[in-house]
Amino acid sequence: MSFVQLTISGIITGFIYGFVALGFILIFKASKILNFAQGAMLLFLAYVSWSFMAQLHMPWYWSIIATLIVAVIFGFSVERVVLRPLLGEPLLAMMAATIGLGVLIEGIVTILWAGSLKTYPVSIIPSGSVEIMGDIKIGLESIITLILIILLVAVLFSFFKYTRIGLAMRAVAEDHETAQSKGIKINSIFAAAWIISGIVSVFAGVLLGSSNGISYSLSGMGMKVFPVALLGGLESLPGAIIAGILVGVLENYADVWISPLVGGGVKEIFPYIILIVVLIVRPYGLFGLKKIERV
Amino acid sequence: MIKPSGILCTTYKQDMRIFFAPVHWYALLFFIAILFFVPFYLSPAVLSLVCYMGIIIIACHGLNLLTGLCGQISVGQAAFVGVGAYTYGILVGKLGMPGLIAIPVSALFTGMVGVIFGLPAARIKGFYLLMSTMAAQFILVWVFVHARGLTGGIVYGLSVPEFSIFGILLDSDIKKYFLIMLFVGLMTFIAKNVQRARMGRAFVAIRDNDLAAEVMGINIVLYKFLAFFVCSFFAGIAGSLWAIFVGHLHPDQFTFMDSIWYVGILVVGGLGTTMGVIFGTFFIKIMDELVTIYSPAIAGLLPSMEAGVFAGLGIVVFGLVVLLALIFEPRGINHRWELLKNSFRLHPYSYH
Repeated sequence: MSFVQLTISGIITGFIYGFVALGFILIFKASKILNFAQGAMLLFLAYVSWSFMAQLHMPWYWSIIATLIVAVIFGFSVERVVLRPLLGEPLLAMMAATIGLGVLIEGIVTILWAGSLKTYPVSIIPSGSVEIMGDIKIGLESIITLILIILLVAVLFSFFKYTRIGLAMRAVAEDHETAQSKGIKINSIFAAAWIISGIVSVFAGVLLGSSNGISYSLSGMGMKVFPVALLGGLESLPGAIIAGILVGVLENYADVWISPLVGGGVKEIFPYIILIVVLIVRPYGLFGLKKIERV
Repeated sequence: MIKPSGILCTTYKQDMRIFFAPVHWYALLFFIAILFFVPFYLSPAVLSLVCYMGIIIIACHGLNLLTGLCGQISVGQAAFVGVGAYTYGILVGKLGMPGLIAIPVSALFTGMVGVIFGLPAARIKGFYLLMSTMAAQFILVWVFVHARGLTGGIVYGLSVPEFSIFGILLDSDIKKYFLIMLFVGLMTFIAKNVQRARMGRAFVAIRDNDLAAEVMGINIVLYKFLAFFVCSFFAGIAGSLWAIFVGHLHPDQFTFMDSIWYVGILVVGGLGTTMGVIFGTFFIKIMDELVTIYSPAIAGLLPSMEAGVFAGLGIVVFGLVVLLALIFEPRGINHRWELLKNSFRLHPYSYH
């Protein structure tokens, strides 16, 4: 593969990484919880959308809407059942709870769908390939995925900027007590963060599922939000997208140029090598606030 | 903690004792005697379960010192156990080192690897460190898979020769049981004493308020490195025993999910308590065995998703138990045990 081809496919994967990471960062900003269940959420919601489509024979647009409803119910109940009783407990307990939640969801996915590879019965995104600049081929579905993600990110950003609840979420991210004193209900903001994170996961899951099929690898994809979010600075939404692109491109380069030297498979762990380097060199990431206290 | 009736302490040293009354010593001797005789009456399946429990207890003691005392969640303990196991296997199998020397050497090496992944502690504090343990999990398992010359990779695995000591070959599970229990006792003793000593107090101070800890003269960076070192050291011991007991190593024995199980055991047992580790291990492992026993029956009820029930029921129950423990008893089983002891000690009266 040529350098340009590598870069372009890396950018497209990276956009998806960044998009998944947005959901993770939302939860982190609102509640300072590193959400270990992000990958499991992605997996679960992608399978749910598949079930609506393949087993209940809904048209694809209705099944996406139905999955969105499931995501809303899911986010709401996570806040009610898991997080609200733990409010006031140390953060460690809350993060352990997201670990437990992730395990629980993955187990449920295993029971319901036996973890097998599923593909959507209808292709949501038309496939084909487009040639640009002579010999470089890009799948049509990648281009459409890219455009859709850019649109969704734009919607998400304007939601934060222009709506009342978006403003409230930014206030909560800034400071819990000040936000409360202005009459913002922290609980509902937490619920909103989980709901939006779920909605992001639905779109990411459907986009990923329609190009690669739905399997456990989605959960591994969800784990990559940690390096991506950290590189972007954990607090910054545009940072997540840029970091996602960087990670996507760099892991492609590593796959081609470093893998042959060490016997293959560097692609899976390269994001984590980036993570270690970021932690040591620049722990506040590329766009994060330099608030992380030095020891 | 409420002391047994009639125990009055006049010095700090007396107050910090583990055993307050002679009856505690008798109980300990009785318990050791039970541990000594019990393997002869257990079925092979139960015996191997008990051995696994012993190994997990050692790994969890280490994790408890890092997570429970020093306040850093680690989601990479299984990978460090793997480092210990592979190091032991390579030292004994390929270099021909005697087993008894290989155990501490591999534990020390695992400790060093732990410190390498703890290096970001020099720059940052808070929960960011858990990301480095996560990276450790994925990178180390990748090394197990790809360093084929040393580890046998994913196809062949690594066979470990039987452990022999002073001419005695540990070739049966009963003999290995005694070795494992010896180490469980030793490591529990060390874990408890690290907790009571200067190091453990420094860990707790860092967990509770690192600024205050620093003001009191605790070198935070040094003690965080120490926490990573001790945690991985325990993992190294557990890994060596794993290599001895299982006999054949494979990267699939040290997955991310296993690391999560270690965290779950701590949470259910009670973070930061030595007894909690033991309670948690017993509870989670026995629960897991029960699930394995009953899952055919449950799969029979749901014939359409039989394969899924076999694979997924265990982790569903585990996830549920961790969540329920966090919501209803965040201080773990150990706290219930303390309450039980207290109510027994206070018996006729309900207040102190």
